Amino acid sequence: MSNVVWTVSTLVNRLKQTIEQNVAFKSFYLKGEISNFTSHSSGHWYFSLKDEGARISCVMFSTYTSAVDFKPKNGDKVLLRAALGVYALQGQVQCSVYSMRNDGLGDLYLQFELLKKKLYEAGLFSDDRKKAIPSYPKSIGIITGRETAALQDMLKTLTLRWPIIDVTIYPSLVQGDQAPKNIIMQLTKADNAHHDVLVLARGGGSIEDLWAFNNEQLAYTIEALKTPIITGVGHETDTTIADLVADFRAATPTAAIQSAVPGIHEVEQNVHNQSKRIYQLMTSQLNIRRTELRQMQTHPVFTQPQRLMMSHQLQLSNFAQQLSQQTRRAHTLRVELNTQQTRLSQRILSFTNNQTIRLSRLHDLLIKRIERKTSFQQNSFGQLVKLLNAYSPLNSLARGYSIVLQEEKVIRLTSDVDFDKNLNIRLFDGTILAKAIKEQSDE
Amino acid sequence: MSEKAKSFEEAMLRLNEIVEALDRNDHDLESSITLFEEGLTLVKQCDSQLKTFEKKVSELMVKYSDDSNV
Repeated sequence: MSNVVWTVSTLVNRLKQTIEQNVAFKSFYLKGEISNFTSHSSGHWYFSLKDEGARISCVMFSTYTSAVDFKPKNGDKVLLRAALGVYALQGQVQCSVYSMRNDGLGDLYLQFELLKKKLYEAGLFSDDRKKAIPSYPKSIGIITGRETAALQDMLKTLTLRWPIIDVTIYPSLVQGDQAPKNIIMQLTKADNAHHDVLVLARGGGSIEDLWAFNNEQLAYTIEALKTPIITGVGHETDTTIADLVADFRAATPTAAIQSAVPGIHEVEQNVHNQSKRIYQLMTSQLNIRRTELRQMQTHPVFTQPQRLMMSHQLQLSNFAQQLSQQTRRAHTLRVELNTQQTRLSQRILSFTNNQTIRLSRLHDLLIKRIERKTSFQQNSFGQLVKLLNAYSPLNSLARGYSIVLQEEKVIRLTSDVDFDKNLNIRLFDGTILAKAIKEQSDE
Repeated sequence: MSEKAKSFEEAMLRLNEIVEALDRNDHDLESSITLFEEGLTLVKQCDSQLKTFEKKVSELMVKYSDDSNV
């Protein structure tokens, strides 16, 4: 026992700390009966929750009261989720309430939460377990209550949206103790029929009505299905375990059908658009190719093929020009050559002329000289001839003398004569053959 | 050139090559003329192929639009 004196505040704060630090008090379920219920104008609710042996005051703020789907009144048995706190001003321990359900459902709700947690931890809700829903199913299996409004709605939706599908209905109990077992049986049967998609559906109802869909064995059955499955159980706000395990959760049976099959008009429109599009694409591709081809066709290499020749022609004309230049040059050279030739021949001519002249002069000179010389010689020759003439026997012959020859020997002496032989007597104008008769004395 | 008939794509590619080659004009005259002739042949081939394609597309459109309108 301590001797320390506490103030009220200290005590209440210690109490507040003790309570609020205790994890167990932070979130718990609490069931009991409502009394002293007051709904404040602010939207907050103040009440006590009691049972046979105790009571505790509760506050539920407007943030949370708006989510409660019924109007509580004194005497209602409810299930709360709450946290424990201390209201210091009053020194009062009280519950801050976050949610409230009718206690009739309290147990079910707890069971649901526990099962949900368990299956979540087992991985049954994980996204990678979910199978894809086929886009254009050809056959569908519907597991739902026999002759229910939900079934009629679904069939109607199916006819409107995707009338070309084969529908097989697997009628099942959808509420009551036997329902889970029945649903499991029909699901298995449907799964074995190899539909493209299954729909498990039930129209709206109370949580008890939908309870068959919060079954653990059903959850495992759904998880093991080979066929993709869509659920549509109850209304928007209802989420069952079956919904959580299913490959796709639709809010209602009709929504489940809408998710299971495409709208035929949309598909038709889509097909129409696609066909238009492929035609456009095809046409535009052809047009592109056509344009490309036209560009090549009208390219100067084809429209002006002479261009191909141009450089060659250019080169050729270049050569021709060069050639003609050469020719002209040759011509010039020829002319020059001619000129030179002419000049040369003129030169030669003039040279030869000169030489001729000179030669003829020389010739003349020579002639003159020779003439002079010969005339001189002639003169002396004439004298010699005269002299010679004077001495010539012929002259003597002309004057009447004769020469007597015997055997080519001139006979000067009578003694030279051989009388036996003929004599030749040479006269001025000829020779006579003679015969000596005898020597004669000149007296 | 005259081995197997070229596909449209091949022909267009070859045609493009030829146009570029002729455009550069760096071939001797003989091979230029050969290329020129091949080019004209390819133009004709491509044109006729393209016409066939275009015709086929319109035929298909007529054929299948009738079906889809039923």
